Amino acid sequence: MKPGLPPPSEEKEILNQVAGQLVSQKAAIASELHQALRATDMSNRLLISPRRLEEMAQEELKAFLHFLETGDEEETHQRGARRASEGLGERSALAMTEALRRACWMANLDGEALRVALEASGRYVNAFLEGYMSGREEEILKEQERTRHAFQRVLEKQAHS
Amino acid sequence: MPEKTIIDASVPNAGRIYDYLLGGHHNFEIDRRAGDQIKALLPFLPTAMRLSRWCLQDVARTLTVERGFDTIVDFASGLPTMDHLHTAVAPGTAVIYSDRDPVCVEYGREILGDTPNAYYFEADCRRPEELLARPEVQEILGDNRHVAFVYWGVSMYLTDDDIAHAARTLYDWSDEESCLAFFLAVQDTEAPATAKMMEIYRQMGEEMHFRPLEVFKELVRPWRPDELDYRGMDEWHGIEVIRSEEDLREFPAAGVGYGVFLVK
Repeated sequence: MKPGLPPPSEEKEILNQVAGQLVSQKAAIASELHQALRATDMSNRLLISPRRLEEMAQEELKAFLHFLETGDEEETHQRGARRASEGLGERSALAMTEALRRACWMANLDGEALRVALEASGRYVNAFLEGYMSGREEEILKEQERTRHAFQRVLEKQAHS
Repeated sequence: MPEKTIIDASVPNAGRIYDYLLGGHHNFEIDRRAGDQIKALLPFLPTAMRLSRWCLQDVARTLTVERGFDTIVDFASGLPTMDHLHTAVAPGTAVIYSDRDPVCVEYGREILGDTPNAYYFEADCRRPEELLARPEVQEILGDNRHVAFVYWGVSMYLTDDDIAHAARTLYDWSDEESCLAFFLAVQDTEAPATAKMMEIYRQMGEEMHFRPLEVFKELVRPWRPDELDYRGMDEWHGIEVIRSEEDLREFPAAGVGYGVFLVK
């Protein structure tokens, strides 16, 4: 535990309160997220069409609220990797995580709750973006390997024809 | 539908430039340089390409889930990415991809892997009869003539004669309820940036062809649009894409082109 932080059980209780506060503003936060995704939609690759963004905003808010309850960074990491493989663009990933951080700032939390919420959102964003970056890298390497294999097979066929 | 195989990495290639402009990784430095030149001329082009490509998932769902087609034949499929038709069709749908470039075909087979009912064959979209006559395709289709055809994102590489021939061939081959999903790219060839882009492609050995919607309608007769009619991309996606005045000059019609389901 870092110096100055409340003990885990107390922090958990505060995070539950934070989650409750955010749930009460769910519609507004989802709308912010949707706008952030919409504003950056041209950075997305092809599986993520504009039609999907509203649903994605809802999913991402739900995942963030779930994280506040569980603190499961591994799950968040995997989520980031999955979004990368679906084609979420870098700008969208950053805009989305920024919108979640902003939601904590704007949630009318008192001093201690705000501090805990910002710490938690920081952990969430880091885990998501680390997963996102590793997912992107994995996709690029996979595509490189497919390209190499395809080229090799064509060259072999040409050599035999 | 580039003339040269995509394997030739010594010169820029239209297919790999297309991939680069869409944010893919199947391209080389030489393609990225040409792509950057084109982007500098037409900053809206990558957006325009995304808008048309985003339709593919809708096309797949509309044809199979809503309209009940269990067979799709896709022409000039290009470098297939994870967004392609087979990922969005109704379960059990047979999807036949094709491209004249052998590397696209091999790459496509890598992507498809063991995906059931998804196939990729080498064939030229300018002569669809050749794909339909392949023994492997005949084995998949049997007597089935109730088929949805897709030509999406290739119209700029086809001459008017190519389009007319493909449309007529597919019309004659298929049954009364068949469908041809088509994306028509529209750009003003008189506009300076578009003319320069066409010149860049010409230097790569790729002729580009754009035509107005009214000309296209004549070329594909007796196919006619269904009740959704020809839709520009903003209308298709239900969004308003912001364009500068310059963008509007280069992409005058519907921002980029029209998607349509042609029926008999």
